[in-house]
Amino acid sequence: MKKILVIDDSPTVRQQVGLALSQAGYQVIEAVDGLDAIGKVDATVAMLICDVNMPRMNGLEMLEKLRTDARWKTLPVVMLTTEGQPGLIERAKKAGAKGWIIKPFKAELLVAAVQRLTA
Amino acid sequence: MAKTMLDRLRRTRERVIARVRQVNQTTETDVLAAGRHVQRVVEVAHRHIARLREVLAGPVGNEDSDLGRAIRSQSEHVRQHTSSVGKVVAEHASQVAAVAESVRSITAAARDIERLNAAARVLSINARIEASRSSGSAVFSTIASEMQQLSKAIAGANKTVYDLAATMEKTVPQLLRHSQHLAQVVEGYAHEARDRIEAVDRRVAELRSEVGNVLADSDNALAEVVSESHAALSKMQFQDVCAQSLLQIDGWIADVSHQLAADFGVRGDIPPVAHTTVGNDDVEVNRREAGEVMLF
Repeated sequence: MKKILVIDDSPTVRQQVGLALSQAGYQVIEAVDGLDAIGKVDATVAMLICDVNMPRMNGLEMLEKLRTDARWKTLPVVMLTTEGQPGLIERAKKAGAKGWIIKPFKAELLVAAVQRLTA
Repeated sequence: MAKTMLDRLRRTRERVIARVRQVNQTTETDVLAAGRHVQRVVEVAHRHIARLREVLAGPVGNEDSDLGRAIRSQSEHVRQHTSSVGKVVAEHASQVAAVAESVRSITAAARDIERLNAAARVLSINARIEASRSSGSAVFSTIASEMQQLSKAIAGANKTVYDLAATMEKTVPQLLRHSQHLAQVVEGYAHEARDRIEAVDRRVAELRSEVGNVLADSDNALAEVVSESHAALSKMQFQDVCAQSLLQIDGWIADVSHQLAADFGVRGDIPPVAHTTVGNDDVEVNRREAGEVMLF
């Protein structure tokens, strides 16, 4: 069972992403912000789904920090956010994000994206 | 004047933030509870369908099930048994027919013996005539006497053979009829057994097909439950989206406050925004397109 790390400061979003992915057969672990995620990512994690606007460390900072570690250079990360600014999307893309989803997400499309990126 | 406006804006922001937190807390609790309900529905559906699959696919739906194997084994046993009984009965009938033929041969042989005996009697009479012609020749007289005794003995033995053959000729056809009747009964039973086995096989195939249909329907129902659950999960995000929007309003009022303070050159008590955002641009997202996945 592949493990997905869901990072969002909203417990409802973490729950909704978690339910959608667990119904599709994934194991889900949660982090409440970027800093929490950095402490939880390990070799068993297959993919990250990350909010952008979060306290302590936002999603883009977390992504940029993550990529400085050689172990997580290619770990798939998809940003899931209410933001839709092209500048932010471009920044995430440059930092090595594999996708960008604007909330509210469609559960089946999210699951399809995860299936594709973890295949 | 500017300071008063800044105070009013600050108090407005405080009220907005307090209201947002209050509403957010309430709706968040409700949304989380709804999410748990959705999950429970999916889990119950999953469990019931798994149980249904276990119950249905176990005894009938699966060819390797105990019941499936027992039915096949019993059918095969009956097929082999009726086939071997049929062969034995047919062999028996054939042997009885051979016996009937042998009895007819014995009767024919007895008739031949009778004819030969009649010839021996003629020879005995001739010997007696020769004995009287040759004035009581001892030799002819002895031959005539011996042949007469021999002829009587042969006639006696032949009568026994005749009687036995006659008895057998009466009995063997009865035996043959019984044998043929038995063969018919066995053949009828074999046909009936085959029909019943075929009926059982057909019913098992129908059941397996019905089970397959029920399981396929169940899988479709489960897929529908999961799909509905996904739709519900998608819609339940209203709380987070609303909260984000309200917190954005706080950010905009904070911006206005800073502009006012700068324009009028006053230092106001402007609290930081409740929810910091990475981007400051006010980009309106087309919500109809929200949820679409951009993969890089």
